[in-house]
Amino acid sequence: MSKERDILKSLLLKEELEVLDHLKDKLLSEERFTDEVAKVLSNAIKRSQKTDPQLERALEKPIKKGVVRAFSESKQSIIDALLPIMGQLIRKTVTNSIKQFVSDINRAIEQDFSIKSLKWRWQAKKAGITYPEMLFQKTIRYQVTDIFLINKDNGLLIEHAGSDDLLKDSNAISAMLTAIQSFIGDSFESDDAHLQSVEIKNQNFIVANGPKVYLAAVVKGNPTERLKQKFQEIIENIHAGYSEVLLQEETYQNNLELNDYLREKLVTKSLSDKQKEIKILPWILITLALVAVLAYWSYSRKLALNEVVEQSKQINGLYVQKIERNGDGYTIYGLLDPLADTTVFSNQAVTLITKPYSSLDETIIQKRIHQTLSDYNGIQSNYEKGHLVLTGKIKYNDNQLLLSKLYAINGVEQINNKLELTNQPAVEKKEDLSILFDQVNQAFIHIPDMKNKAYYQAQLGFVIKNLQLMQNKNVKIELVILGTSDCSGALSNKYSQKRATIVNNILIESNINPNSIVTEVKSCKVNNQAKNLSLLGAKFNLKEL
Amino acid sequence: MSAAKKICLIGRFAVGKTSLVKQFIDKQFGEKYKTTVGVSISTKQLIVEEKEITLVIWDIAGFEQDGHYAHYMRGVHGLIWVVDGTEAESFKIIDTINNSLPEIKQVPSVCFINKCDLVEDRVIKESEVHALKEFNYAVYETSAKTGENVEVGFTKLASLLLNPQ
Repeated sequence: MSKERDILKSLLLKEELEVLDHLKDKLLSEERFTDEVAKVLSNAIKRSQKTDPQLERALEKPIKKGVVRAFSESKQSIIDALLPIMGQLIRKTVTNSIKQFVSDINRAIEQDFSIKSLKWRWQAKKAGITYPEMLFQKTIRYQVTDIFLINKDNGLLIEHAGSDDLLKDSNAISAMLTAIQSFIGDSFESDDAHLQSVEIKNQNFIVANGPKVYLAAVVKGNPTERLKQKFQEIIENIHAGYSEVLLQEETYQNNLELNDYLREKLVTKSLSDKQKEIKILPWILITLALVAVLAYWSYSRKLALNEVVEQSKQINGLYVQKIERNGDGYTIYGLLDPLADTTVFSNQAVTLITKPYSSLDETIIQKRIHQTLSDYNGIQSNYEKGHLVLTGKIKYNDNQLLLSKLYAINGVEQINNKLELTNQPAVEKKEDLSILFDQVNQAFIHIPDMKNKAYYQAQLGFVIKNLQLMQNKNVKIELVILGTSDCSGALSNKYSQKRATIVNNILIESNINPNSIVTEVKSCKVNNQAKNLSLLGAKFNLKEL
Repeated sequence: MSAAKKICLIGRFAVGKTSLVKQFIDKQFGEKYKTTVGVSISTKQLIVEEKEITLVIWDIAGFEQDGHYAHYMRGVHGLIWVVDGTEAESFKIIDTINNSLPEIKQVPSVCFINKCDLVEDRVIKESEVHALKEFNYAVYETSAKTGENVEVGFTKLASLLLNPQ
């Protein structure tokens, strides 16, 4: 019966039995089952975490135990893994502590054994505060002792850096500050109204607000505006760099990196730093000294230059265009009359680089007159403001030449000729007329400009006299008046003609027969050389017909 | 490092919120009544089910003014409703608060029916206790004066916060 039933079962449920056998095999084979679970385990954990926290809680204890076991059984591996992190952390903490310790010792040494410290001890006693407090006031500008990073919504402490002794219950402090923030928001009915600073239990808190979290720093001393700005920058940086962890409460007070970042912001600014900042007085003094030396040096040079300038001004016949410093001496550029006396510079390192010119200085004109008169004996002169008076004796034949020479001197405008003529020739006979001809032909009428007619008439005096004498004796003559110039300008020929005409007109006015006079120009090429006044005038060519 | 959780005590003025906190923190009770202005903050560290937890307790001033507590409730993790078993008015205010802050219904909470030592003055009805149990995980008859159920109540809330249900 049983056999028949088995056959019937196998006929009716063959396929189902095969599936059942397959599943049985799958479940009962541990190795295969493990493989199957391994395929879905990771996804199953992920999904369970989202939908049901039970698995997480269930795993908590075995994981905790597993970690403890791993610590006890594989100490060296754990140490090796943690060493790079812990070592760095410990090193940093120890370094900071040593720095602080050394700084405190230094300050104590600096301050404890001085007259200043005695004074401060006295002041502390008078003010009723302890010496360390007075020391702090006198040496520290501000000190950031604690920084709290707080969740803005629930007031939970995210991280705290600073002394644990100072504020033992940092959670309570965080909540209290948040309560005050809330109170302010409630009072002003605005979410934008924020606490900026507060004093709790003699601790000054500076608050920097961000959108998710805010920062409260405990500051001793007198915080600066710059420090407050700094905190605002810190809170902005925290929002930028740690935005993901700020709202993950499970990481609160357990984020080493964030804690490290806050610790770096615990700074002390001592007054000695401030003094270092404002120690510009010595620099000001040094700068002033340098400026003074420079000013003195510049003043000395100026004095020396002024001396040279003054000396150059005293030299008649020197026209200074420029003075340049040349090593220890000076170089003067300008114009120099050959008769100028430059001996005043003989004892100084002064170099003269000059071009010659004819000076109109009275002293130089006088020197030039004396030089001209030195060729003649027995003539005295008196020159003043262009007017020259001549006294003494001169040979009749020398008189005209001398006058021409003197009129050729720049600055001699008028000559009062009081010379007594000696050796005057007799002109009674016709053959003696040749002397008169020679005198006229040797004459040179100086005409530096076209204005001073009296001057030209004075020069023409003997020429007119000789011509009138010839006319009276009915001597037929031809007088050629030759206008001359220095050829220094484009209009030289034109002016030469004008000079000849001036002479012609004066002669006609003096009743000289105009038919006997011819004017000509001594034509010249322009040479662009310096003006030479002595060449401006008129000459004669007198012939008997 | 223990997890920190913000819990708020809310209830009508003079129901004994501050005294409950003082009893929980310091095991002390003051006979003199001093009204709380704004909020008073305390912290207490507990070990519940082998886990460390720091309760940051916000003892908010009595709810006689509408809406002034909203700022203090931000980000709260757990609530303790406090009613006075000897004052019927203190029960009524719960509805007012629940209506003005509907979001707090999602926050894990326990309720303390305080002043249970004043047995003769008790006015609370069983129906009211039942109503409280409907939106609280647990309801405790407490006495800030004797300390009865105070620590138990706070610990229960701490446990709820560590193991959300």
